[in-house]
Amino acid sequence: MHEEDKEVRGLSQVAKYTITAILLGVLTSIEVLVLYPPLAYAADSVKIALLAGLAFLKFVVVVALFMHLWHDSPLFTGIFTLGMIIGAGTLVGLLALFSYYPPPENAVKPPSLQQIYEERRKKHSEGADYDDHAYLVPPPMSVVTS
Amino acid sequence: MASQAGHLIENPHEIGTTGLPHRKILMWLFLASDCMFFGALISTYLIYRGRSVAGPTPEEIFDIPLTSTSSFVLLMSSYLMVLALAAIERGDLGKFRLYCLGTAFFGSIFLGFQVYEFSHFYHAGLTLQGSLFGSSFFVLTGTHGCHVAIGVLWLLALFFYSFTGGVTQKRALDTEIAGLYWHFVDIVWIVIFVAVYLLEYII
Repeated sequence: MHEEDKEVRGLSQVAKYTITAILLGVLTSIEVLVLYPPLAYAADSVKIALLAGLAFLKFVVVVALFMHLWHDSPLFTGIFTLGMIIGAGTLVGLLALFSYYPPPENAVKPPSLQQIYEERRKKHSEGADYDDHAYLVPPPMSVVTS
Repeated sequence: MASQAGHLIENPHEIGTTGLPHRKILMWLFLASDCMFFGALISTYLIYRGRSVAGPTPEEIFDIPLTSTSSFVLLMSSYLMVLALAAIERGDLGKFRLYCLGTAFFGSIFLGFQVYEFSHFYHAGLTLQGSLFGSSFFVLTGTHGCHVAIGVLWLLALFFYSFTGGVTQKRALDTEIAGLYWHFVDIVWIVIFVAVYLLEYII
């Protein structure tokens, strides 16, 4: 391959990877936005479907383009897919098995996302500062340790 | 000699009857087995979810903006890794060194975030033996962190090895295998970020 051809191929590769990286960044941002209003008020099933879909898309993009499975030997795809199927099968099987056992009665019950935001709105109506896009319950170190 | 993926192979004995480099097949087999390993750890975390009888709860201590930032840093390290591979395949050793060191640096930043997060959680009362949440969380994310640390050491070894003349265009397979490992660490975090951090606020 001539030096000029190499250079052009290299530049097109860099452009392709840069676009992929930007896409991954955008998908991650959308994932996080699911936890903030107005998406936070959507039905749980919608949010779960959205998060699962976005994670799957990111996973496939990295495996196909960054790990080059898209244009590599089908043997590698087969090996990796087999590992994935066994791993995911373990997850689904164990979750199904343990779903028969309810959580203990004295288990700590955390508030739902809606409850967190409703609580904040309530505090706001009572005069406290309120920001829809504020941190999601990260207590400052001083509050935690005191 | 060129492998099926089009990479130059210096030693023809590296290619077996499949027409593929042995080391690359071995790496994919390792990654497949690691899928099962992380599948078991993520299953354990999800099974124990909501069953802790002692706090703190994830909602009380998770810091989503911080974790989102560290996730973004890890994603961008994957981007630098793929650029490092592209650079060495072109024979551009200077850019390879730059991107390889950048990847290791971003991986170190991710580890820094994790150390900060672990120490914050510990001070908030979350310990390895304190609750089901603490045990499953620290084992899962700690195992992932160990993978990242090994990856950083591997990348630094490649970086320093490049000064001895060991990293060349003909030996791009070495970088490709390190890259496969690094990208795998990234995709595992994609799953952990959703299953452990984000899902906690939804169900």
